[in-house]
Amino acid sequence: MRARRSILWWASVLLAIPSPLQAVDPTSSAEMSRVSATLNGVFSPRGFFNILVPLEKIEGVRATKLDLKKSLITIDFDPGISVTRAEMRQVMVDAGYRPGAVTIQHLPVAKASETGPGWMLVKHPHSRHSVIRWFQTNF
Amino acid sequence: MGFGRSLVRVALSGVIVCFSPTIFAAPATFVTALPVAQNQALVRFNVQPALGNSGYRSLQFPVNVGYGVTPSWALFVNINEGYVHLDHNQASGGTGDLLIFLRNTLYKVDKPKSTFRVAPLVGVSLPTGGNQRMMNGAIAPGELQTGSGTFDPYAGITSGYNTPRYGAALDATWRYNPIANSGYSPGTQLRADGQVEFTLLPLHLPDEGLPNLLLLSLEANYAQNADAHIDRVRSESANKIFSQDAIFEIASLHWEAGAGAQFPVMEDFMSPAAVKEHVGFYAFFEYYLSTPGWRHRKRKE
Repeated sequence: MRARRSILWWASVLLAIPSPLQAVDPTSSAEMSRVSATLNGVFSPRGFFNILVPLEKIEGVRATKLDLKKSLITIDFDPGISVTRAEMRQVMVDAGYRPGAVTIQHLPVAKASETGPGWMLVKHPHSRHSVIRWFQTNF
Repeated sequence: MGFGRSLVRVALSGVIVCFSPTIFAAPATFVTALPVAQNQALVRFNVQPALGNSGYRSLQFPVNVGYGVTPSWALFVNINEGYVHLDHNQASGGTGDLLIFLRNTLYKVDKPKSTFRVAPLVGVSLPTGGNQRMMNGAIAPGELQTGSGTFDPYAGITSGYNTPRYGAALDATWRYNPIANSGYSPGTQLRADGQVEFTLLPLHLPDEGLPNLLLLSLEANYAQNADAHIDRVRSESANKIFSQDAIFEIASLHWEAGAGAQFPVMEDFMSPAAVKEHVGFYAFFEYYLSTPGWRHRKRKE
C-alpha cells in the first residue's frame, strides 16, 4: 500500500514537470517567428556564447541553432511573440559584433525547432530568487 | 637577477595577466583585446608551474575575471596567488598585487570571414602583495617580494585578427613601478606579446552545428624590467626576457581549457648570478557566465 502510494506520488511529480523537449502540437494553427542572422566576426564557440547572453534575457526566445561554418544563428520564438530586424540587430550590437543579414520567417508551430537536429533550448529560469536564477542560467 | 627571479617578481607582483580574447580561442600567456559581451562575465583559473636552476621552483595560480560593462567597455580583475622556492630554503608565497583595468574596443572591422580589433587599456595595480619580507635581518631580495608596495599605473594596447581557421593577437603593455616606502621597486616593465593560433580539429567544419574545437596556440612573450631597486639602491638597470610557448586548447560553447609549455629563448640579465628558467607550463580552465541582469522584453502581438 505504502509502495503504491509512493509510486503514485512520484508519477504525479514526473507528470507535473514539463519536459524541456516538450512536443509542439502539430495541429496548432499558431505561427512562430524564426530569425536567421549572419554574425560578422563570430568564428568560435565563444563568439556564439556572446550572442546567447543577450538572447537568454529576452523572453520568448525558445530555441537556437548555431552554425559555426556559416557564422549563422537561427532563433525560434514562442508562438505569438513578434520580433523585428532592428531588435535582432541590436542584440548583435550589444554583444559587440556588427550584424549581417537578418531574415525573419513566420512558420507554423509544427515546424518548430524541436523537430530538427542541432537545436538547443534557451534557458529562461523564473525563480523568484536572483541567485537561484543565476545558477539555473549558467550551470 | 635571473629569468627565474624576474619571473617570480613578475608573477607575484601580478603582471602576468592571462586574459583571453572572445572572438576565437585565447592566448594562454597574456591579456589581449577582444570584447567580453555586455552583461557577460568570464572566469579563468590558471595553474603555472615553472622550473629553473638554483633550486628555482614556482607555482602560480592567477585567477582572471572579466565583465562586459557595455558592448565596447570591459572591466578586468586579475588576482594573483603563488609560491616560489629558491636554493638555501629561500621561499616566498601568498597573494600578489591585484591588477584592475578597463579596456575599450576603439576600432573594429567585422567582416563575414574575418574580424580585426584594436583596444587600448588602462588600469592600476593595487599593492595587495607583500613588499617588506625580511631575510636574515634584512629586506629580502626583490624576487621574494610578492608585491610592489605601490599603486602602479598600467596601460597598453592590444589587437586581434581572426578568421574561421586561424587567428592572431598582439599586445604591448607598460607598468610603472615607483619605489615603495620600503625602498623596493620591481622596476618599470614593458611587455609585448604575440600569438597565432590554428584550428586543428575538426579538419573540416560541419555544414551545420557548433562542434568543439581543438586549437594550437603558438605564443611569444617579451618582457623588459628597468630600474629595479632594493633599499633604494638600484639592483638591476635592465633585463630582458624572450620566451616562446606552445599551447593546445579546447574551445566549447560554455568553457575553454588549455595546457602547454613555455621555453625561454633569450635571457639577458645584468647580474652574473642569474637564475635561469628551464621550462614553464601553463594550464587553464575558463568558464563563461551570463551576469544576473535580467531584462524582460516580452511583446505579444
